[in-house]
Amino acid sequence: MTLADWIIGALVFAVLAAAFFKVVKGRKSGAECGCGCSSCADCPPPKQDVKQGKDT
Amino acid sequence: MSVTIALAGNPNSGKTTLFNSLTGLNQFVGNWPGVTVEKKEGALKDNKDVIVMDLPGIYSLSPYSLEEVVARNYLLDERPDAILNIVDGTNIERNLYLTTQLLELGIPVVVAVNMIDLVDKKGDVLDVEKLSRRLGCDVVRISALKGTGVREAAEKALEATRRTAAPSPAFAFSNTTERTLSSVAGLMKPKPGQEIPKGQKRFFAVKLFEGDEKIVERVVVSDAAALAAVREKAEREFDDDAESIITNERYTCIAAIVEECFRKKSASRVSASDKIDRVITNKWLAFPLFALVMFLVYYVSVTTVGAWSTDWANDGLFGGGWRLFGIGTADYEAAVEAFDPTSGAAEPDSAGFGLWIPGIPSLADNGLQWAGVSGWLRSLIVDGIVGGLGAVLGFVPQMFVLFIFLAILEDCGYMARIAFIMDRIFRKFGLSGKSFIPILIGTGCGVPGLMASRAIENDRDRKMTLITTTFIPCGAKLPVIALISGAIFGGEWWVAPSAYFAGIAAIISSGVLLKKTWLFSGESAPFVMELPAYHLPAATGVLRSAVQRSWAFVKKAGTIILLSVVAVWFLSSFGFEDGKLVQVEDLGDGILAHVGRSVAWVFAPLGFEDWKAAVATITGLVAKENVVGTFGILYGFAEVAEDGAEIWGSLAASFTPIAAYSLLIFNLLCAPCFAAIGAIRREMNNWKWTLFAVSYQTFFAYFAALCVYQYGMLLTTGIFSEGTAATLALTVVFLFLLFRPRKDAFRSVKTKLEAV
Repeated sequence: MTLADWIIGALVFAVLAAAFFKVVKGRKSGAECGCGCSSCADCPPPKQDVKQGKDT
Repeated sequence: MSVTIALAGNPNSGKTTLFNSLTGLNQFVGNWPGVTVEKKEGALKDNKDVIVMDLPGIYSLSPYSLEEVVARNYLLDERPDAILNIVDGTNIERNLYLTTQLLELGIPVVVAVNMIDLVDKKGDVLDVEKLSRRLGCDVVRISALKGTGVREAAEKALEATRRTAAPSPAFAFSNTTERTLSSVAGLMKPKPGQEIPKGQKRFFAVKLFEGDEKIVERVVVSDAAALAAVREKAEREFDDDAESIITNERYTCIAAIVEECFRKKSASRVSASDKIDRVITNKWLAFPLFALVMFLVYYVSVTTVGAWSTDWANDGLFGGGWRLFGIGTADYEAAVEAFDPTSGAAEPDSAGFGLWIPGIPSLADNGLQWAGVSGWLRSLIVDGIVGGLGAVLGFVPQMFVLFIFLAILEDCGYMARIAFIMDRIFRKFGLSGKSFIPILIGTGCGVPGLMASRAIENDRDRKMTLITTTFIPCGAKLPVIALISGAIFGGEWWVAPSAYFAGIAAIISSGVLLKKTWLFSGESAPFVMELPAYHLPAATGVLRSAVQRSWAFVKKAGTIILLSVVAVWFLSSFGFEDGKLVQVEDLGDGILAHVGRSVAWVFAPLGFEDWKAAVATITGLVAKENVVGTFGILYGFAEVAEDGAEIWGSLAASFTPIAAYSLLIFNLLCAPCFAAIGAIRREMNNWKWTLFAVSYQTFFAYFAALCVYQYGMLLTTGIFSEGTAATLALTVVFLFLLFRPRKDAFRSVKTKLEAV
């Protein structure tokens, strides 16, 4: 493993980790279902009360 | 302390446009009723303490469908601090029906007469002051689309939230009805531990008189017999039922108000929209016009304008490279033509002509080689990430063109007509045009399309719509269509439009087939829809919609698709040798190849038994773009020829046109992506039904692809194989299920015979 491997490898895995957490977080919060369409806001979290922000 | 303003109004009156204008958010707006099926909230742009709530459109407070229930329950239970009632100025009489009900809720109301620019343009005159006096609330003139009067409406609504006294309507029904309502109010008591909010007594009295079941549950009637007697007396006196008495009273009031406050320039004039509709919705012309419009949309998006830009993106940006402004292309082509391979001279170098800009794969590869990065990491970045994502992102230009066309069709009002046109066809098969609205929305993305099915009251029709909506090609399927069309068919004119019509055919035939089963039999609900006036689409709105949808696609490529292509790269590049996990030289030795081969036999009758196609189909379940991303990695899109022209060559060499079209049909119609399957489950609220939906879609897709391949082979080669025989048998069963008489039709005939 060269220094370049470590630096570029770390960058690539940081990007992948960020993408992974974005997908997981988006799905968990219900804010984004992950379908990627422009109408995410049209898909309200089904298990949440929009006003209270609590799980119902 | 925060205050809440609810936006309420009829469907397609412009609530979401006003909501976006007030909050600065970008909720999806469509020029047809039923776009909003759930309430949505956002903070007022200039005052974050003010919450604006966008409610689904409703015609009255007597809810019939799910989204109407959402709106009414919110108004009754949550009690916003004020209601901003959006009234369509071009259709004021019908819109005021809801206004008269909102004014009875005891919540301060501000009426915003929208589309006032169109009212002025027509030469009609609305006296706002008089209307305000007659209704007993503030009235403002606005154009949500142009942004005029929006600030004033927000200020008036904010002012209304500060009022402490419960407002009451300034209009009244006839003396007899008012007396009846007073009697009903006298018999009404709140449930123990609850109270009827101040100012809401009249609303409850009216609903109790009408016999609204949901409202009856909320109050206690001290003397049920007395209430029945009051109702009976009124019904005898008016010679009408209770609900109709109130409806008539409201319209009488509204007629008097409109007479006083609104002056139409010419009552009998046929509007421009009506004239256009005479052609667009004409009995004979409507369907051919619809077919022509959708053909042009897909043809131009995928084959012409979109293809030119996608060619550049695929061959240049994500390919070998491109010449700036094309300078030097002619010289290069001349040099290639003059080149004699037998001369022993070096082949002309594409990069040696004009200003050559290398593509991302070669830039990345050269950069990583220069930095001394190891082979596996270089392969991950160049073959996996750049190759996989590049294959998907290369189609953004085509998607952008498609989204522009869809936005224009939505905005101008044509989409609403399509539902109306399709209703005529659907009705013949026992379906409703209402089922077509989710399908229209699903053209962008299946998830909001599936959610739009909430507007369908009939549960069986709703379930059937959920099963069939994702047959329509969504934005994510476009790269698959474009790839097959470009790589295998060389951009043939019919391929891309045929994908859309295959989706429509699948919806219609599935609808007919399912409707004839006991699960979905029965008459469908009548389809009543207000056709919005045609208007020229606003360029900014169209562009914003297309940019938003395309950007969402790019964002998705940066998350779920990125993870998927890396997983595909890892599983295809690594395999086990002597019990150890090692990077393999040949992708055919990788883990993915073994998995692919073990399932490839399933797809052999469809013509694509290659493990790569099997794997691409499976990864497409995560997101449909993954089909293209997976092909990008497995067919080595990152390793392109210098001129980039052969980027799809290896793919084209692996499929016959019939097998490729079969692959396209299967991927278009089979189970949708996980996000859409999740949406089906949420909407069905039942795993068994979800499983049924996904299984049906996959079986249907399999059958359709089987027909394409087997009959295609029969026609082109003339060979009748066991596969053809099996397909023929399945076709007979399918045709029987399609054309057998409907069960309810049987029942109706039987009933008639019994009556005779």
